[in-house]
Amino acid sequence: MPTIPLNATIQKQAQLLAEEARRTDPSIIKFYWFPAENEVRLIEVATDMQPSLDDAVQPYYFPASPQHNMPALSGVALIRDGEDGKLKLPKGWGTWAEAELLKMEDAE
Amino acid sequence: MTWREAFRQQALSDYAVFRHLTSQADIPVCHRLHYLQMATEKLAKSLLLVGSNALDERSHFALVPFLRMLPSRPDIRARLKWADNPKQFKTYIEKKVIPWAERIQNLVPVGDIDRLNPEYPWLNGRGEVECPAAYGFPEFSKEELIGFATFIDNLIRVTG
Repeated sequence: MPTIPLNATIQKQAQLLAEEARRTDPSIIKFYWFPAENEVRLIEVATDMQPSLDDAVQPYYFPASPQHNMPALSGVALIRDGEDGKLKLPKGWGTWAEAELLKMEDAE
Repeated sequence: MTWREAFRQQALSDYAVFRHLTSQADIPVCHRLHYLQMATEKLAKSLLLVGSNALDERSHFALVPFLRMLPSRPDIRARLKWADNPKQFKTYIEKKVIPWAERIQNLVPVGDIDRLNPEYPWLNGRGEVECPAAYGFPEFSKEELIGFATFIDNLIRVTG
């Protein structure tokens, strides 16, 4: 199976967003990054999030902000711990198996 | 149509615009905040109204009083899938949702001209005029906006 070259800038931005989210909200414990060439796709897992009622991930999109080292637009969703791997993903995001679990500096 | 029904219908319409804007990354964030503030205010008013009663006050600040009542509503708690965790639900509402709601509620453009708001220009702390469309609203984190919007989304579903 051919390997798809990924934009390192996108990955770096995903990591930056995850670290920023972790700093501002310690209840967010995991970050799934779904690789894509032209945008960041990130699912954040929180321990105290409202459970999903429709069993689907709903991303919210935020504009690029090059002055803050975020040159691409970002699609970000928040889900509750335990729902990861189960909720239906947005169209075009692929499968849960294709996601990369981002490592945090403060992780055990 | 009753006042309750009218407020709910308008809230859903405002909220639909907010949801549309969440997929439009090139539109300034002020518009999302504006529609979220308007939708939640009207939704709260619709939920506070009973039967065919008319709204007896003009306050923009209906959301937080409504949220404060939620932990004691087992029916809504169950529909939001927190039935087995009343204490956790109370903590979630009080520690997360209400602080988010207070910040969204306070975006309403009333009072002094130096208040942050998503609709009209205001004076910042340095005496400079700020334009909402040119302002990034760093006071609101992505997680705050998403977390609050997700809660409102579900509240709309379970109170229909």
